Order: sequence, then C-alpha cells, then structure tokens
Amino acid sequence: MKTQSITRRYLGIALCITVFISSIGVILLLNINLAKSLQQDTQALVIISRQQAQLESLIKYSYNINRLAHLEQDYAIDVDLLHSAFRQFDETLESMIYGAASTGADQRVNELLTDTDFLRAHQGALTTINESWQQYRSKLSPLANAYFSGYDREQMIEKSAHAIAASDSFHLALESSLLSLSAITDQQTASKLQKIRRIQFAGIVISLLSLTAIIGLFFSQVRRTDQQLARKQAENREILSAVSDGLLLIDKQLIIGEQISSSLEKLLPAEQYSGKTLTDILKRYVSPETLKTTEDYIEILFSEHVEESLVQSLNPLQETLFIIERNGERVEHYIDITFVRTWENERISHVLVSLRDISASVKLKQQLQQSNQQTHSQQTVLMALLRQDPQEILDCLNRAELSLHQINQTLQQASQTPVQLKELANRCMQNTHSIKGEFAILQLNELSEQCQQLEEYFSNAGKQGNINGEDFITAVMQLEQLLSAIQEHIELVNALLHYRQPAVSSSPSAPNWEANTSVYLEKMASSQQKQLSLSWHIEPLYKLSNELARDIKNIITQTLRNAVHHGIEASHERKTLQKPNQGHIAVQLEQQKNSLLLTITDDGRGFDLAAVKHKLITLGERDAQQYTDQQLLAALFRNTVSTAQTVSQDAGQGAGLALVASLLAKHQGRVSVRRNHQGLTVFQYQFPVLPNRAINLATQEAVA
Amino acid sequence: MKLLIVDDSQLIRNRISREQTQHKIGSVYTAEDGEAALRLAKRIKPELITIDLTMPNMDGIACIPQLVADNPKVQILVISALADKATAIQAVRLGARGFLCKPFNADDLNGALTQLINKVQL
Repeated sequence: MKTQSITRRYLGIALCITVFISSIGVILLLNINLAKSLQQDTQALVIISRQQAQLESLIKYSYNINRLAHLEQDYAIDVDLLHSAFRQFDETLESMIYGAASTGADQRVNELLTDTDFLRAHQGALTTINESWQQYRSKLSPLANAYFSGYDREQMIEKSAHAIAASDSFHLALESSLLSLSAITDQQTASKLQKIRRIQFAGIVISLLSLTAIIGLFFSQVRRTDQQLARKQAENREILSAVSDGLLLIDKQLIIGEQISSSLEKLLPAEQYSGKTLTDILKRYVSPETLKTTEDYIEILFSEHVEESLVQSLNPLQETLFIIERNGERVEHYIDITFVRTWENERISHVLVSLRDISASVKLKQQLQQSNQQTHSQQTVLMALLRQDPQEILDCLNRAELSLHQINQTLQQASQTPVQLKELANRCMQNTHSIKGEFAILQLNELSEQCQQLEEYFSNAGKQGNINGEDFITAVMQLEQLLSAIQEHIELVNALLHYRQPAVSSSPSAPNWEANTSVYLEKMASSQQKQLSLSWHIEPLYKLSNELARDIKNIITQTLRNAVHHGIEASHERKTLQKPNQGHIAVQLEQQKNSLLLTITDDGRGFDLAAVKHKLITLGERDAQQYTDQQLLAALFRNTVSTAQTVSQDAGQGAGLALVASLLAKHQGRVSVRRNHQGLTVFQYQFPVLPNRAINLATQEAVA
Repeated sequence: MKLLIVDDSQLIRNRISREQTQHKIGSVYTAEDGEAALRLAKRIKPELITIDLTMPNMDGIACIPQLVADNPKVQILVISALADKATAIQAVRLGARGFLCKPFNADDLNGALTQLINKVQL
C-alpha cells in the first residue's frame, strides 16, 4: 500500500527523467549518424579533388612525353608518371562506381568507397563520368602502357598526339562532371550541417523542458511532503497536548527527543526536556540509588536479547513517590513510569517513557490499609485494656503525646548548626526510644512499631556526617502521623473507659478518673520517696464538652505531675521542715458566671526562682538577671525551661508547662501562679465560657 | 539438556531437581556455592543454570559474569530471596535471563523454567 502510493507520487518525476534521458540518447545517435555521413562527404570531396588533380596530370604527362619525344630527349620518367596517374584515376573511379576500397596517393585507404550510399546518391553523375572516361581511356591507354609495349620514338609521338587530341575532346566533359559532383556533395554537406544544428537545438529545448519539469515536480513533491509533515506534526502536537500521561522518547544515550506531551511539565516540572537526559530530569526527584538503578534498567531496556516480560517486571519506577515543589509548596505525588521499547529493523531504536499520576489510587489504597490498621490497632488497645489498668494506658499515652509534642516543636525551630542538629537527633532518638519501651510494655504494638521507625530515622540522622535541617522533614511527617495515632488511641481509651464506668458508678467517669490519676500520682510520688494525699472538687468537669474536658484533664495532669516532681518534698525533708509527712494537693474546678476557674494548691517548697533565673541565663536570656518574680514564673510556661536536676520519664524536660501554655492558648485561658499567705503554691487557671460551650453547659445542667 | 542448580540450601536444590522429569531435562547437577558452580560449569557445560544470589564463598552476582564469559549462550535463572529490583536489574545486566523470588510456588518455577528452556531449544 505504502510502496504503491510512493510509486504513484514519484511517477511524474520518473517519466520526466525517462523523457530527458531518451531525448538526449536520440539526439546523440542522430548526431553520431550525421557526423559519420559528414565525414564520408568530406572524404568524397577529397577524392573528387584528387581525381581532378590526376586528370590534370594525365594531360600534363601526355604533353611532356610528346614534347620530349620531339626533342629526342628521355621521356621514360614521364611515361612512368603517366602510367601511375592513369592507373590511379582508373582504379579510383572504378571503386567510386562499384564500391571498393581504394588507396590514395597518401597510401590511406578510402573507406568511403565501400559505402553504397554514396554510390546510390551519385549514380547518374558517376555513369556520365565513366562514359566520358571509357572513351578517353581507350585513347590514352596505349600511351599509358607504352612501357610494356616497347614503342619507338615515332610511335610514341604518334600515341601521345592521339592522347592529346582525345584529351581535348574529353577533358572538359570529365572536368565539368567532377566539378558538378563536388558541388552536389558540398551542397549535401551544408544541408547536413544545417540538420545537425536543428537537431541540437531541438535537443537542447527538449532537455531544458524536461529538466524544468523535473525541477518543478521535485519542488512540488517536496512542498507536498513538507505539508504532510507539518500536518502530522500538528496532529502529534494536538495529541501530545491532549493526552493526560507524560510522554517522552529517549534514545540509547538517554537523551530526550523533541516531542513531549504537555502533561509532562505538570508531572515533572523542569526548565527544559529536549536534548537533556532522563537522569538529568529525574535526579531532582529521586534518590541517587534509584537513579543508578534506573540507569542500569535503561541499559537492559536497550538490550535486544532481554525478554519483554522480564524487562517489564524489573521496572524500578512503578508507583514511585515524587516530592514536587510548586509555588514553594512541596506536594507528594505517586507517579507510575512505564517504558515501551520501539523496534526498528530488529534493533531497539528508542524507548517511549510514559508517566501517569496515580496519587489518587495510591492514596485510596493507603487509606484502606490505614483503616485496616486502625481497626487492628483498636483491637490491640482493647486487648491491652483487658490486661492493663486503663488509666495507666491513658497516662502513658498522655506522656508520650507531651514528649513527642516537645520533639516536634524543637524540630520545627529555625536552622541550627550541624553539631546541634546531631545532638538534637540523638536526644530525639533517646526520647522516642523510651516512649517505645512504654508502649511495648503496655502491648500497644502499633504505636511501638511507629516509634521504632522514628527512632531508626533519628539514629540514622545522628550518624550522618553532613546533617542539615531538611533531613528532619520526613521525621516531622512521621511524628505527626504518630501523634495523630496517639490521639486516636487516647480517644478510644476514653470512650472505652466511658463504657466501662456506668456499671461501677452512677456519675460517669468522674471518680474513676480522679481515682486513677490519684493512684498514678501516688505511685510516682512513692518512686521519689514522697507521700501524697489529693483532694478533688472538680464536678463541673464532667459536664463539659469532650474536647475542653480532655484538655482541662491534661492541664490538671501536667500541673499535678509538676507539683509532685518539683514542689512536694521527700518525706525526710518534710520532717526536718516540720511539715506533715504527707504532701497535700487540692484540685478545685468552679463554675463562675462567665468562666471556669481551676485552682490547684500544694504545700510543697514552691518555685526555686533563683534556679529559674540561673537556667534562663544559661539558656542565653541575659535580661533574666533583672526579671521580676512574675516574669520568672511566666518563663516557666515557655518551652524547655526546667529547674529539675534529673530528667525522668515522668518529668524534668520542662515540656509539661509548655504544653499547658499551648492548651491555654487554644481555649483563650489565663494562668496566675502565686504563693499565698499560708505558704501554699497556687496555680489558678481561668477559662472564658464561650457561647457554644455555655449552651452545652446549660443543656447538661438541665439534664442533671 | 544439562541443568546446573546453584544454591546453598539443600531444600531448594531438591525442589528444583524435581522439575527434571516434567521439563525432560537430560541431567541435573548441583553446586553449593559460586566457586563450586564455576568449576562444575567449566567441566559439564550446562545450557541452563539456576542460581541463588546469597551464598558462601562466592555470591551469585560475582558468579554470573564468569558463567556468561565461559558460555555466552547459557540461560541463567536467578532464584533469590533478595527481592529488591536494584539487585534483579544488576543480575540481568550481568547476564541473567530470568528472575524468580523466593518463596516461589510451583507455577512460578514451572513458568520461569519453561521460558528459559524454550530459549535453549531455539
């Protein structure tokens, strides 16, 4: 089909070329023929003029012999010359008439006389010449052959007189016949020359015409081909701009071809594609290891002997995660890159690379996995709750949340030196490790596994030679995932506690939480050789919305842990201070007109403001020297200020009050810390009651 | 046709050997590591080799190029638990003609062997 159309397309040009070549051939043949004929005519003219000269010689020698015989001188030479001229004229004429080769005086063979054309053309003239010659010859012959006859002088005079007499009557006729033959031949030569000129002119015209036609057809063909090409390119462009996949073609050197689809720029942004290598484009998005693997893979793609199915199964860029930066924002995209080999004469000429954004389906898959995982983790928590004290689990989760929250804040701080970053990575690793341990004890396996991943990440980051802030981006993402998983667990435990309690108590979750927290704090106190009694008056807490109640519980837990860790003295210390052995903390929540007031009072040693000041100065706050007591107390609610000399799982990193501060900010609450006239430390938190919360309270009270 | 099975696990060697009758393989030879495989391959000149990647003395990745150098037409099937694509790509680049991950099922092994046996018979 294709060959046929190509043949038809070039048929015009082929015809013109045929005409051109054949016309040149015909002209060449005609020219050769005419030239040959001209050459013959020229020879004929030479022969005719020679015959004329021989005729003159015959007369001249006849006279010479006659004169010398009369003078009684030797005429033998002239007899010889006459004989020779006679014979030559006779033979030449004979060959002119009958067609045979003749040898001229110059000993050259006259081919002309073998040509019957000449004879045919001039037969009449030749017959006339022959008739005159035969008569003249009969008179001249005795003299010309005198040498053989042995005539004496008298006889010679007589014979030569006969010959001279005959020449008088025949010479003129012969001469004029030869002249007319020469004139005819001359005329023919001229007409042949004219013919050659015409043929040449016609030839040149035909050649020029066919050449023009060839050039014209050629250019119109080129234009048609160009138009077809342009149309095809336009179609290609249209397809490439409409197709949603990123498409590009690479050669063996991995160099990208000129035609790429528009979607490619969206999928993998780059300033330029054409002429660059695929690895140039990919190296911004994938790790050096993946890049190396891709290069190796493309080498295999171009190996003809490797099976298609094997090649496809080895593709290293299926479902690959690309972090694409657009307008300064980094977005995760899952891109499926496939490679198709294009064959040409049993060799692989190019590879078509197509890129497809499959983020939506991958994310859906991840969501499904996540939801499965969530179900699984809920089961784990349920199992853990059956085995462990729920409050213990809740506390562990709260502690973990707090600690991870602190890590998250530190990681998101402005850039630090590599040494600091290394130290930070190590610290984060230790903290994550301790949280992981707690989860493991409580058999919260999902969380423990997530911690393990995070810990490994920090461990690797810490070992890295050249560390920078960006290395923590993945950690922050993992951390946020872990935090949200912990929050889900907290909600789940709270919900489960809620279901457990109605059977035990008519006041839902109230005393149980207080009792559990009391038990936990007493345990914590006893591990520090402290004794503790707690009094609770927080009834309004159980009428609050879930979120506010949870956050207030968190604030109470953090403040109490702080009070036990920092405030309450060890029993032996209290004894020397003449205080009761048992430290006492009172927690009270009151509903006021437009606010909630939480008061936590303890009889501990209060704040070591000098230590706070010292800590602030070592942290770089030089103005701390002039801080008032209130300013120093406010500083406690900033991150990482802790006066504790030892860091334990329960407290000591200074993150507790920082978390309290962030929770207060969330609910627009305020805090005041003071020491009252009885020497007790009083933390007072005030939360404004917002309209929606007021409604919530009102309905709760109405139900009650 | 001669098949050489290179694997440090007796279990795997036995499992692959059982394919002999189904695929009408003339004779089956086994080697426990890369060095033994090279020595044996030089002597018996197998058309088909299955090879593990992690083995004592000499691993598969080091062994494959030498096996190919000895006989460029040999069909090598890598059977390995190292399932990452980078390793598979490396093995194919060096001359392997098939890749099968451990653990494999009967169909996987059968399919992979059939493919290479067809190529031997071409």
